[in-house]
Amino acid sequence: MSISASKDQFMWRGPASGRTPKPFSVKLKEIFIPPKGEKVLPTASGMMLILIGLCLGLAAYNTENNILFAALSLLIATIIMSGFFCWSNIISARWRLEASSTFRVGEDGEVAVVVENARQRFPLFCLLFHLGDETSHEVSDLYLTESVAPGESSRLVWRHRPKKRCVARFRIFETTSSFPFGFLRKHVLGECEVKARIWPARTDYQRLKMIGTGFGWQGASTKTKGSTGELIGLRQYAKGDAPRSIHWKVSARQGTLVVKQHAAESQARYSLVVNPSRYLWPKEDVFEKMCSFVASLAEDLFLAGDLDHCRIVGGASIKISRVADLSSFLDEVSALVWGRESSDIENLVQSNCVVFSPLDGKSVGAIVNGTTIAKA
Amino acid sequence: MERRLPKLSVNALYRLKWLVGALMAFVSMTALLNLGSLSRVPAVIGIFAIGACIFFPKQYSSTPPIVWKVFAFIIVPLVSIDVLARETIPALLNLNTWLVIYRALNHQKRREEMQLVLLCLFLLVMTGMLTASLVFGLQLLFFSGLAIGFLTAGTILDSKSGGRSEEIDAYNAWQKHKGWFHLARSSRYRNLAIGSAMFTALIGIAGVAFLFIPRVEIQNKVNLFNMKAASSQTGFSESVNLGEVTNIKNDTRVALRVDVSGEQMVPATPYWRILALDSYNNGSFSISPNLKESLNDRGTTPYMAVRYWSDRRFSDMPSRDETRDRWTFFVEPGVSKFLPVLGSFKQFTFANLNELSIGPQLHAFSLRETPSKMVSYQLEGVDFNSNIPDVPADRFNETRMRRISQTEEFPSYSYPESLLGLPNDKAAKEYLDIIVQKITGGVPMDAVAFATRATQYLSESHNYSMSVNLPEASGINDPVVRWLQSDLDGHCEFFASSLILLSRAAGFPSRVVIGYKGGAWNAFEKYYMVRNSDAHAWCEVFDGKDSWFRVDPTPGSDLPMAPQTTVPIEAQMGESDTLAYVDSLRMLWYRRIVNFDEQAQKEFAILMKDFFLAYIQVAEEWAISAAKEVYSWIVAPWSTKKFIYSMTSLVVAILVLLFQRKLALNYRELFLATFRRGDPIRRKASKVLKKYETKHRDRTDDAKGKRESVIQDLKRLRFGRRDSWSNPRIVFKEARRWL
Repeated sequence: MSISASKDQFMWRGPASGRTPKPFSVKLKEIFIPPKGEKVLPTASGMMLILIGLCLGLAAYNTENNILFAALSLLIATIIMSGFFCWSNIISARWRLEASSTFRVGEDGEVAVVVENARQRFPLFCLLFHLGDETSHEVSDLYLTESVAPGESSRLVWRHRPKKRCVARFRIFETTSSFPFGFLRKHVLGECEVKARIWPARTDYQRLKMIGTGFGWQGASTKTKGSTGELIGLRQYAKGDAPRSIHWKVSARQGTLVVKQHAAESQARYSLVVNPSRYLWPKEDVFEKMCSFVASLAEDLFLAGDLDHCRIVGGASIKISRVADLSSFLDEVSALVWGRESSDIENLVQSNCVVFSPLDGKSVGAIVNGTTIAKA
Repeated sequence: MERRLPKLSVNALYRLKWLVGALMAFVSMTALLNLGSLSRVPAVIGIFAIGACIFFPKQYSSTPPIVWKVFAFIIVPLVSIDVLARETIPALLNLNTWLVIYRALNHQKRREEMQLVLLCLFLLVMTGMLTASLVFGLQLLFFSGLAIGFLTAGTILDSKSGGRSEEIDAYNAWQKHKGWFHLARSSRYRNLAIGSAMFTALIGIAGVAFLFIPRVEIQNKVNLFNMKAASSQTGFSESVNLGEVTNIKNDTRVALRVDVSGEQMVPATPYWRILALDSYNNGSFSISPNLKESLNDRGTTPYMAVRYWSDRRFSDMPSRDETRDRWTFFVEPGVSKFLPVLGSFKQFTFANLNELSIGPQLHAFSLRETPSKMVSYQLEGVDFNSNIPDVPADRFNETRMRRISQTEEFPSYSYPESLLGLPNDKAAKEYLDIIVQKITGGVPMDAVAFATRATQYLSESHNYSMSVNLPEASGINDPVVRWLQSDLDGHCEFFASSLILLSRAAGFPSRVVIGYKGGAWNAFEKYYMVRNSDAHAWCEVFDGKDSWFRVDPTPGSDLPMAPQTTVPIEAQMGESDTLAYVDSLRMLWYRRIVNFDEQAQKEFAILMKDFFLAYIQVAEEWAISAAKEVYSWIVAPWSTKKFIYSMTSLVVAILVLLFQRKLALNYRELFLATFRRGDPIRRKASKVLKKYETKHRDRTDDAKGKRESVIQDLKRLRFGRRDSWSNPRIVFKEARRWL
């Protein structure tokens, strides 16, 4: 096989996705008894051709005219060839589904079908992938716009702009081949599925007056925590610390990793706690607004270096040290379901803990120590 | 390094698809030219319009859409006028032609592409049914190739444009056009090869489908498109003037093809009899009005033939008598409405018996009108001796044979008096009596003897010549008698007419026969090619008993009642030049395509069965004889020489086997390597690895370490640099041992 071993790590789907090619006898059998989910159906043109063929056959038998029989033979041959070639075109194709690492409501993301021609001789033509998001019921058709040479692959991209926060399930519903004449179409199940978290859209919110220090409300923000400010001491390395903050000389001397501690780190840091319980959010639109607000505030706090922990009631607390931590929190926010009753009875009122609450039935407020610091 | 050509853009593919569609329409338009004058005007307009658009595509693309809308609007009155003014089929053809022109120059959507293909196919099939010519077969081939190219280009374009092929801006697409040659340079050989393979597959499958579509005989067949499409090629009609048959001889086109099967002996010089003419008037022979009326009003159908010929059968199905010889006639369009036959026969097989009427008195077989397409029929049990059976007058249908009174305008006799009709000129009659007296010498003689003498007399008095300049009339007006008086040379019609008049003057009923004499044997497909240049006229004289014997007074012919010279079919040398080859293709078309019926299908099935049985039998016989030879060789006494020979052969065989084992690749792989891509060593290593992966991967035993080492070596052969390879021969040997 010309496909290298490194490529086989992907979860290929499609007729040629098996590790070993199917024996010819199996392929032959599958022409007549297709595997489950596979079918060959006539297109509108094909139906028209079959109808014309029937009429021509009727005329041929009634007149016994061999010119009509010759024309009928041509039509029959065209239909047979259409079926055979649309089958043989797709039989050596395999594909997989890829999705962008992040999706956000209102922003473009990529869902891509990577299709590969596992044949050794002939190119791959005219495939159509019918894919979509099962959660939001948005679908799209991706055409193989260029032929794929033997052993090569092509990437077909669907630029998708989600409209709703959710855990999306992107799926190739089916793949069809209508090559060469478009009279018959071979349908094969897509079998590929990728889950993606759709983060809530960013929302505008109003910052209210802040009591105390920290959280750059006045517009100043830092991208990495502890990288600015005066050096006030050293501390043990903790997971998530930037490598450049390591004090290499001291670490070498002590035999353990020690990092520099800056003044900024000592600023007040906040924890976000989200309570999605239904009793708190009786309206879905307010709930969605809250999710967007939470995501926006979490990002801003993270950028300011003032986000310490995030937690959704009923879930584990996430220590926010890196972008990946924030992402995992936003993933959890994307999966929040409105109307869920929370059995957790917790004391949410902690020091520097930002909690969210509906304000006037329409807006959402972020409350720290009993004080509303922002409103969306 | 392979030169990578840029792939065709959407616009380029759009232009290519348009070109193929236009060419497809062009081919279907040219099929209309086969029909002669019928639908020629729309065809010429269409060919010109499509050709102009192909050569000037930018100008075509600049045409405002209103032009096409107006054109579509104009089609309606054009067709309406056609329907009112003409027959249905020409109107239908014209409508189809206008629609093809319109659609060929205006197709954007998928359904419009389909419409174009079907309109072209319909046009082609209609013309094919009207002509059934070989040219149609070629046009159908071209059309098939272009149609699959057109449809494939449409499918690829739809995919390439992301399902938006219908939204392509045609004007912009044509503005980037740099000429067809530029487009051709961008095309790849690989695509051309794939296209050719698809075309071959299509023709192959269509051929198989054509052979195996079950043919069923239907009692009441419908005659679609039964109309006259081409003008008459020759002049074999009910009335022939002097010189008309000779004029036909100037045409060298093939008029008749005759396929012979089952007959071992065929006449050396066959006479293909088309029509006998009984009535004579001033150099012109014709059928008597009463006979003509009988033939034309279809008073005598083949179903009534048994009344006249009790031993003959007319059928639309061949007989099951395998012992009979069969002569299949393929008459070209426009030759004559009378069908040529070769003497007497047992069965006449014709698909449309309702179209046929018979003339038993003149032994004629007539269609309603001169056919516009090839006509085929078959005669079984042909007796090609020179006699034609007479039909006694008491068997004639009296109501059909009513006498037509002789008028001044057409002073001829009615049948059967017409068989003794002479010129009205008294001087001419007297001259004829003098000649008859000269021939017979006053001695009574029978018809055969008289015909023989008369033939000899004519041969002595005149020579053969294609051109005749008769002297001015002096006393006698009749041209034949004037020619008899002279010593001029003459053609077959003069000789035949003279003998008719002399026979009648002597009291023997006689008639002139027109048809073909001779014909060339096609050595490629083994059949007679009878050309118009073989046109001939001869006579039939009543023998006074029950038949008419042939008399060919033209110099160089046999004497009356001379034994028929026959030759075996295998001895026929015939023509084998390029023209004969092209003609044999036409015959193939008629035999295998146009004339393919239920019987032919059965014969084909039997042929296939026989072929395979014969093949198996030959193989079986070969195997048995080879085994017997080996056995007899072994059991025969051994000599030193034989022993040395055997041992040497054995040693050579063992050496070859060992040598083969020592090679990294076996002979099969070495041979196939030239046809495969990539390094054969890498291929073999890949194959061995794959086999191991699928079958023996989970095997655990003591040789695991060794096996892993071999796997590593194989992987190096498969993926590694060449300088890192171990000896491939040894690696494969180890793999055979350990894997």
